Amino acid sequence: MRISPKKYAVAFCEAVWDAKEKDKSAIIDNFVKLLTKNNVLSSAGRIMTEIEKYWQEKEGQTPVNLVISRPLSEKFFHDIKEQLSDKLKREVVLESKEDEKLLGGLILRFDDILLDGSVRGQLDNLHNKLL
Amino acid sequence: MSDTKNHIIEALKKQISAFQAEVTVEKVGTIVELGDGVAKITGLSNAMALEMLEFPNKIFGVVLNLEEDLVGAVILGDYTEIKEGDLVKSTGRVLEVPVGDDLIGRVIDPLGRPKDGKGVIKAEKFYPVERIAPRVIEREPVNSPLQTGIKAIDAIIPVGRGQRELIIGDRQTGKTALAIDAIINQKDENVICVYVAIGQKESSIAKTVAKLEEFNAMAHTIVVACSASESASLAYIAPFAGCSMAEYFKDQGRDVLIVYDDLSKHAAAYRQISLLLRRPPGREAFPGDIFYLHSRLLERACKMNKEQGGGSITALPIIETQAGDISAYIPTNVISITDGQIYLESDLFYQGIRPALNVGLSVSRVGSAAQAKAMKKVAGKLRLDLAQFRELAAFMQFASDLDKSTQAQINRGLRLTEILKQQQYCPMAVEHQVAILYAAVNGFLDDIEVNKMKDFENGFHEYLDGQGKNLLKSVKKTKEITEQSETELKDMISDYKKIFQS
Repeated sequence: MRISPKKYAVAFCEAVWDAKEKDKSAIIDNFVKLLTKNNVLSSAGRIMTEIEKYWQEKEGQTPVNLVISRPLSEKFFHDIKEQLSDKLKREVVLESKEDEKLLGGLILRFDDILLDGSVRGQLDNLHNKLL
Repeated sequence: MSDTKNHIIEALKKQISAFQAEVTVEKVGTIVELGDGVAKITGLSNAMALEMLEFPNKIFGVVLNLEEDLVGAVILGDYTEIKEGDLVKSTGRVLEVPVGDDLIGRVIDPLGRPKDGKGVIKAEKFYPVERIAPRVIEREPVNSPLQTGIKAIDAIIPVGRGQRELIIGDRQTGKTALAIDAIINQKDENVICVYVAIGQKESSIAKTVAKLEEFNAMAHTIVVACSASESASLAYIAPFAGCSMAEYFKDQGRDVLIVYDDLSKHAAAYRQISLLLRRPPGREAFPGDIFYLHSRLLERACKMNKEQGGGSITALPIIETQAGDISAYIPTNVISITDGQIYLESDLFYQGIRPALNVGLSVSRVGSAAQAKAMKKVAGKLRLDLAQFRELAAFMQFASDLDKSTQAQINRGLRLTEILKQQQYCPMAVEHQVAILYAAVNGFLDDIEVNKMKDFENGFHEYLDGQGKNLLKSVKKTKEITEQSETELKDMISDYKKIFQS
């Protein structure tokens, strides 16, 4: 049977999560050996992303992508983080990016939801509506 | 001038002030794998099967696979502009195509976008591409004929409105020609035609459209074109889209004729998509649901009952065989789905028998119920005579050693075969068909040389048009040969024979 990257990730995380500090390097060693044996080292990249995702989920964190048009104050980031954590009832890890094309406003993305509150998005909407 | 300018500005202002800026919430995913028109996407947790997806640059795609944490989608359009990591938005709508009267006379792609440069198409409605076929309760048995205008077909393998009749044969046997003739013949029959070209050469599509225009047939025809250079996903959608466009007219209570040219290429396109989506291959590498793909498409051809408006969709799917092998996978599938097949053979084609119809292997399982009485009268005898002729054809070389009755059978058969030949783009009205077949079947033409049959036929039709107007009218109106018209017809035949032989 083919084992999906997600299954590898889950198995690895569960094994490492409760392991004692001294056992951890042995687990990692074994995991890599298993990957080599099953000939899936080529998809190690996918497995790594899955591990990261699963780990964050297990720690109760949600990665949130934030796109803004220009540099903003620390306080702004703090406020956004606070509000989002409040709404999502989870800890938020904010990753921000600047993009001048946005003109103003911001775009938030977490899980598979995209909140578009940018001026560019509004203009696109207006454009579609007028056509 | 300034008035209109002010008006436009006013309208713009109104629209802009009415526009409310709000945050849009969208379900998105990210492409993780991309190639050959197929994308694997993470996210999109609420995606539906057959949902439309929006890729960057306004390119659309369709969800075909729903997996544990991935969504498999095909891209409808140019997939070279899309790259891994791109954002994909879900639209919340299943794949739809525009339908309506505006499509008539147009050449469009499977998504309803114009291909003929005749401007924008204003759609009245959108129909989903995949629709469930009408249920038993809403249907009615096939009860009226769809005249193809081809003598051999209308007489021997009649097609009824709401029937599915397969046209099958090798390459270059005149399959498309037959379908085009049928479309041309619907000019005065109040039938809308949809011609779906799947995976054909751009040049042959252009040729077909030009021919349809030449014979004024575009006025009642929609051409859904997907050429060989377009992506397999569009080819896969094409017949379903064409069928949805046909269903719009059916729902209005009108009769529609739809031609799928051809389903073997459609099957190949679907095979490509399925293999790229890593669905397990079966016989001839086709996926397991290839039968269901065609059966659900052809099941949408139907004759609705009076309460449902009485519309109908007649389907003429076309299948191309390799070296006459009708026992390959796709041909057997489609033969078993349809209500009969028109089998064309290259041997006959090269012998000059065109349409190259193999009368022995061609059948129509429901159409004869819908045949006009006049035609039924001549067709029964014709079928029998041709069958007997086929039995005896092997002895043709020893014609001089045979007894009288066998010789007569062979002679009759030769003449009937000659009569059933018909030029391309020359569909014939039923009353003319009945008249000439009546003459042939009842032995009035047995004393005319075989090589003069064509001249006789042409002349006879002209003579009928001139002298037998009333007779033609009465046959057309009553759809029957009454005793009176029979004697009239006999007189006509003998009169013309005298003229012809002198």
